[in-house]
Amino acid sequence: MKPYSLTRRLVVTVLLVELMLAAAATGLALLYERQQNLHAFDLMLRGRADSLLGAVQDAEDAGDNVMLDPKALDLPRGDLYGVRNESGRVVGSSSNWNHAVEQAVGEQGSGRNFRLGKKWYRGLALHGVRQIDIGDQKPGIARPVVIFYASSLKPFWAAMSHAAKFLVISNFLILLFTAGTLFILLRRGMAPLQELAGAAAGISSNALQFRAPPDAFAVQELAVLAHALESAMSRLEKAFVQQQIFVHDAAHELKTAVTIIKSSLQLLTSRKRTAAEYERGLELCLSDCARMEDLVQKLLLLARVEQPREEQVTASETNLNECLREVAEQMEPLATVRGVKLAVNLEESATARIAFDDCATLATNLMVNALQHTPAGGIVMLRVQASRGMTSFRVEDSGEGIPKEDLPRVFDRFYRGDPSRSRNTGGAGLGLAICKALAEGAGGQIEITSEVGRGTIAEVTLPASDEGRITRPLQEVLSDR
Amino acid sequence: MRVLIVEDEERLAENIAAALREGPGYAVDIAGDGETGAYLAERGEYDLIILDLMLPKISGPDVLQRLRKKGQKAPVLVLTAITSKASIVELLNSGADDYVGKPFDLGELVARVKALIRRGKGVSHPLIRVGDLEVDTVERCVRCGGVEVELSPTEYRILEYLSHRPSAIVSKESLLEHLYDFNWERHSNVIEAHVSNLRRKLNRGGEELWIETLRGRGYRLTAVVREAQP
Repeated sequence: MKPYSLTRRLVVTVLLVELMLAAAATGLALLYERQQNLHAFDLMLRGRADSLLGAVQDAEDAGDNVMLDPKALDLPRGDLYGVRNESGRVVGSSSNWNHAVEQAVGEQGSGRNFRLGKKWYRGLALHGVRQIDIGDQKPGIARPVVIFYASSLKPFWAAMSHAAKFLVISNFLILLFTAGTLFILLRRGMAPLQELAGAAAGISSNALQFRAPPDAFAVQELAVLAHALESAMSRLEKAFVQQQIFVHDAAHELKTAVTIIKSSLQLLTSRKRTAAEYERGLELCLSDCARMEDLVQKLLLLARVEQPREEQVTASETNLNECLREVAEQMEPLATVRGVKLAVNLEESATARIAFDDCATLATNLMVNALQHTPAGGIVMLRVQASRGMTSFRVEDSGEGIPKEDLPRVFDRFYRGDPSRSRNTGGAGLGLAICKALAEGAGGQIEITSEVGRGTIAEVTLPASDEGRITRPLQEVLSDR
Repeated sequence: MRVLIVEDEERLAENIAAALREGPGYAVDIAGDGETGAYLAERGEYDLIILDLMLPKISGPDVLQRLRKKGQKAPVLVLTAITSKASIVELLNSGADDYVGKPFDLGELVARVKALIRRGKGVSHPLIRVGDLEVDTVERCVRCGGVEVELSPTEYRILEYLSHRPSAIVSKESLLEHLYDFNWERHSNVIEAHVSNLRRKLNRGGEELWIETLRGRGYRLTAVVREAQP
């Protein structure tokens, strides 16, 4: 669709409406003008007819007739008139008098338009009485006459066209003025929108900060948009920054891993060595590679579980007991090696809405953490609890615990509570971040409480049924961090 | 020479330490976190400190700041994964002497370590001449009047250390500090034995005294110009 200008559209609409109104007003005004002009014309005709009546005189003949003596009158030339007496005889007329006029005008007193030849006329009939032979004592003889008077409509039309011209021109000027004013006002009114657009155009992947110009907030309609833009951008920026930190951290970890392997190999080749030395060196390189592999795998897993999943087709009911029992069995050798007792307390029939593998990963990570941070002779407990709608399992250890100031950061990616230890055990500081993403991805949550010297409790709460499951959008998950 | 590596990545620290021990034959100590690193650096007499930036407990830049504030003059070589200009400028300005970006070349790291130690002692060329004596720190060999002298690794290290500060008195304790890391049992009579062997090997056939013993104070390397053999 071709983009259109809101300003132009508004101006055109307003002008069209105004044009229609102007046309209607002009029409009405002209109608009124016509009425007024005709009335004036009629009055003029009557006046002229009246003065003609005054020119009707006694003919001073035997029949006491009347006659017209227009000599004293100054009637416009071109006017048509005729005076008829009661017997129907024309007693006087203008030189251009025509009987057709009489027929066209009729006997009525009001004005009537008619056409004579090519010209339009308006005429009327005036019934008057002329008293003649007025003596001192006796009344005169009344001689009724009918005066027909018609005049060309030319001046009327001229006046009408004049009025029409005036109306059209003045309306046109008003339209022009409105258009100009409207355009300027709209321009000015749209300025905050332009500014907002300008500010928004400044957004790029390098500069995600967005501050709406203050003018945009002064406009009620724009303030909503400005607010929405600002908050959307700030959320985006947050997510973007998180992503950048993640990439940065991941790059750092990978660089370090590569550095280790590279230095191991360079050390090995720096001089001639015995076969046993080569063997030992290669073994070390292999274990370095395994660590890097583990790191890459964890990064990929984290990337996968942090994907926003709108519909989890894969998520299914998992028998928590079955899953945790399997994990506990796998953990047994590690517990034995570390001299830690593993206590498993599983309830019957506890199910959760989470994929089996995700649940196993969650539990494995938590168990490994617990086992690694518990000194020999300690105990790690795994237990399941089911309550209304939710199923939870907790991993408790009697380890060294996590200092209070470190607790809020344990779920951060690449965060290591005790670096020297976790480095030795090959942890990249991603385990708990993965756990959190897994638990939240399944609509549950994870909580860690700890006391230094006494131990740590990790509790995972998962929805037990369909109703309890809420898949949170990625944005929200990210903004929590 | 004695080097301190402050690096939390154990395998990396081990590799660098092995390269420095095998290559230039330095004594190397490893600190696994910033706190230990700062503690060791403040107490030990190190000729160079290799410092990682991302360290637990005390971060690399903080360790650096702390050392410089306390007047620790040893050159510091920084290991960093962030090689952006701004961070490097900041590092060098806060007292680092050089940096290598991860992943680095082990050979390059060793060469930089050697150069920094040399510079730290006011020597610019890897071939150190003291009179007729030539100590080649690249080949790790010693020539006296153009004739190569066979030395044991420890003897070479003692001579190398002394040649970095000719005509200065180096105490026995100082030699011990700079030649051995924590893994070695130190006995001052071991040094005495090595010095006397070294002196014997250098003085072959001549009367010159290369290494003076100042009783109760230490040793001094003196420049001797051997007269042309008739």
